[in-house]
Amino acid sequence: MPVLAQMEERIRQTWESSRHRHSSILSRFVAQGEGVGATIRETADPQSVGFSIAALAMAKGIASCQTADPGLAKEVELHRALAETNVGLVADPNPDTISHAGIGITRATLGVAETGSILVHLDEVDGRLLSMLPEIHVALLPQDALVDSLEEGLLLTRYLILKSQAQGRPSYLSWVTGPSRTADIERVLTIGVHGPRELHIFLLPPTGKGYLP
Amino acid sequence: MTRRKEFRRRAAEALANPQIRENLGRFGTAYRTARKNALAGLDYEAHKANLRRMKEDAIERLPELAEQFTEAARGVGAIVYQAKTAADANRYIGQLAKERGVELIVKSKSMVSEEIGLNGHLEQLGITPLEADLGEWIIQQANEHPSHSVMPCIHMSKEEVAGIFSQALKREVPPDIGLMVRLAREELREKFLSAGMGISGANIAVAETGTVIIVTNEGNGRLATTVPPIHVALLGYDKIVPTIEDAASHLKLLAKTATGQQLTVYTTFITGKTAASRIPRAPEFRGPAAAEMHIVLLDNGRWAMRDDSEFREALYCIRCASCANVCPTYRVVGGHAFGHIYTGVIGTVITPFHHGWEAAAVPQEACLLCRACLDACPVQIDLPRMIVAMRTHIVEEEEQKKKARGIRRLFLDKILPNPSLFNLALRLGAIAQLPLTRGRTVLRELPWPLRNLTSIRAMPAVAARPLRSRVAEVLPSRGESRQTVTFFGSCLIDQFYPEIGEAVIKVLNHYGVTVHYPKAQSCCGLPAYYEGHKETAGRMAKDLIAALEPSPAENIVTATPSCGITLKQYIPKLVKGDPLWEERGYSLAARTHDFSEYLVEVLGLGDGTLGEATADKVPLTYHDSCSALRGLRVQEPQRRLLRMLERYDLRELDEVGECCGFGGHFSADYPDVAGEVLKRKIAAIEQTGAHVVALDSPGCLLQIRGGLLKQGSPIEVKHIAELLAEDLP
Ligand code: SF4
Repeated sequence: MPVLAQMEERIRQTWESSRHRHSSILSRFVAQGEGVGATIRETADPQSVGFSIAALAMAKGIASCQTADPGLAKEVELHRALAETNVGLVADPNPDTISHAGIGITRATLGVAETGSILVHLDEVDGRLLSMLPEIHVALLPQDALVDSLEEGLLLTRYLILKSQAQGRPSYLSWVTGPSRTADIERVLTIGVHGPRELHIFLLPPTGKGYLP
Repeated sequence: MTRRKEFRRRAAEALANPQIRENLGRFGTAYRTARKNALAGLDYEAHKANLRRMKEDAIERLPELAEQFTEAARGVGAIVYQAKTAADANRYIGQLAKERGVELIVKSKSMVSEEIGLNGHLEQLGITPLEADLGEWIIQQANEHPSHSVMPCIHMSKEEVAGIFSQALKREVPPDIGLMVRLAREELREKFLSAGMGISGANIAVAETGTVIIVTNEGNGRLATTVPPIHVALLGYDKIVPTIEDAASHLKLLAKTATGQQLTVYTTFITGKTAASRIPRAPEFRGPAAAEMHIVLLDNGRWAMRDDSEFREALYCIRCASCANVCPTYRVVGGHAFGHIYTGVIGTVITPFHHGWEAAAVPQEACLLCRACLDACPVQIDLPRMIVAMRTHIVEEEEQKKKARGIRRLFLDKILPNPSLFNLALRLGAIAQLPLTRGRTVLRELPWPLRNLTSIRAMPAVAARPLRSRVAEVLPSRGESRQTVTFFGSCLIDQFYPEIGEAVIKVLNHYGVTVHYPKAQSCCGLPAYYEGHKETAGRMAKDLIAALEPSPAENIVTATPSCGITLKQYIPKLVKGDPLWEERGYSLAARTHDFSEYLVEVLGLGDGTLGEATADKVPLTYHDSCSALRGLRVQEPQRRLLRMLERYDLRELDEVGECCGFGGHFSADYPDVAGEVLKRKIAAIEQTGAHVVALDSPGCLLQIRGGLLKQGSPIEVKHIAELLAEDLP
């Protein structure tokens, strides 16, 4: 598949050519993301993320945290963090639990500094719903999975879709730029219509291979 | 004529609701700032060019791309249906819902569904379609149509909206926006979970991957395409682009120009069948169990538009609504008067293809031809050109049906193009007005049937002696002659404001320019052209070329920028392809200069000083005419000339570049609408504290001076030539 191979090459080039700018891309991402109302936190160790989520849930009086990604729950030690609290954790959500989730926890695939967006690539419906239905969406993103520009973000998006496509697999990707909002009534900006009212992005320690294919 | 009467009726209805212009007026102002901020730091011109190129290419290659899209989407489990007409699309979707036992459908925003009247069709089948976008939901509860393509209920107040909520939810809801949003979330959340089908539109469709891209801020688009088992995406062929990467400039400019955002909150890429077949559903859910995705690709006039060289570029539209947001008449009457189902300027331009010429004839009346839309459009779609093309079509059709007779046509097609008749008519006017003017040069009230002319402004009297009777054909320069120019006077200067003509000549003579004023010249034909009388305008173009040709001067100067556009842009177009005239038309255009531009760019003025400096400078503001600013792109020379004047202190207007509402025939036909536009202009003028308004167009002068006089304001309004002439040594 020559197109895919070509794109992989372009992605690699993007990665190489922007590595030395990583800290400026990171700060741009944080500034832009916070500018559109996301809460962004950098974390030195993944375990602390679990505790931050637990603290968030308690502060907001949330009864149920859910994720459809058991690996993720383990990585940030959610079980341990929530064990001390009365916040429930569902790591294997089913159709009945999802609509009661107060916090939905998912991975993000990519961050785009130019717009402060995260790319949420969730083909499985349960995980996807957890990024849509709860009042709070928590997204975890390795801090080296950041591109600078919207164009670079689209390159990755196109690549991911083409890759699924080539295998005859459907795909569902969203760029999420801040919490849900509307200005439909008298143009007054109001947060949280159909989607999450809060978007929390935790930047995990770099993986060393960022968004590389 | 019925189309004018009908527009007047709709406009009156809109004007009776002050909420419309209050909301749109306020929005229009905030919009400018938000848009400017969002575009800051972006190479806007480059992205604009990019987007334009991409859309041109996509529409050119549409047959091939549509096929590629269809195949790719099918490869990942989508069922693609190509619908020829609105009825065809309705039938397909209705049948599908029926067959799958769907009772409730949630919809994320889709203008195409408005275009085809999908909701009505579904209701007839006993299926409930529910709009999930908050604005659309409100509109649906109120049984109205959206008045704006991005903000459907911008014409409503929160109190009105609260009334709609109260009725829909069967309880008292206070006008608290935060609360209403929360209630809508709860109410609609339940519906999402019990709907058997979700219908979305698409902002972009990608040929390479069969992807449908949906942008929303609220998140309803993601829910409608994930929660119900069946997802139907309904979109026009015009949305197809080659690859996802081609969408970069599109996505950037859409968010920034539509809502002033960096990017819309949710930009969702759906490729194939991805909806949920097992999700939490309300106990009462009865509907399909298995997931399906259907894509309905709609023609409904789009292929015909593609084949029409005049209107093809309307297919490049990204529905950002910039053209509505900056439109001075839209800001006054809103999208119900200015629009059919699609609203605003672009909405009106595409209406003939989707809903027929009959439906388009009324809303197109709303256009002032100020060109603000063309400047604001991120795809550079030449909407004003298409409005004129529509008018031409409408007039030709009326002609064929022998529907059009009457004074207006007689004037435009017979009197205006005939210099001696036209002059005679105005001379008769000059005599007839005597009992009204009693020697004054201004008429505050005109009797019926001319009352419309003075309902919002005073009118100038027809000059007792027109310019052509006051000056010679050759007016030598003071001192040595550096240059010779032909002065094109324009009807307004000749017959109403000869003093401006004299000032022009005085200034030119002072700076060493000999002026030729060929008396054979008459109207340039702009009124006929703008009203769609293309044939007449073509005749007048040739007459004017012939009238100005004998003058030996190299350059032609005009102090009426709207006529300047005719000479520079329309005349060459009108005589194009005529071997006898084509060259001469180009030559006329190439030699024509706007007065200020000529002084600064050709004569090199603009740096020195003029007149006496005074202790207290007189505050002065400058009003850009739409014609000079956006038509001729002359903006700096006027300011440089004004800064030369020692007596004045130049202060810029708020919302610089906004139209004054004159619009030629427009302000005579629709004085109430034009009056509201004028009000904003006068408020902006007053806000500067200026004692004098300078401008470069006799049309704007008529409108603004007349409006100020009508109010009894002491603010003076002068053509820039008069101000210069007054302060010459
Ligand atoms: S015509 Fe241009 S300005 Fe108007 S909605 Fe379309 S893209 Fe936007």
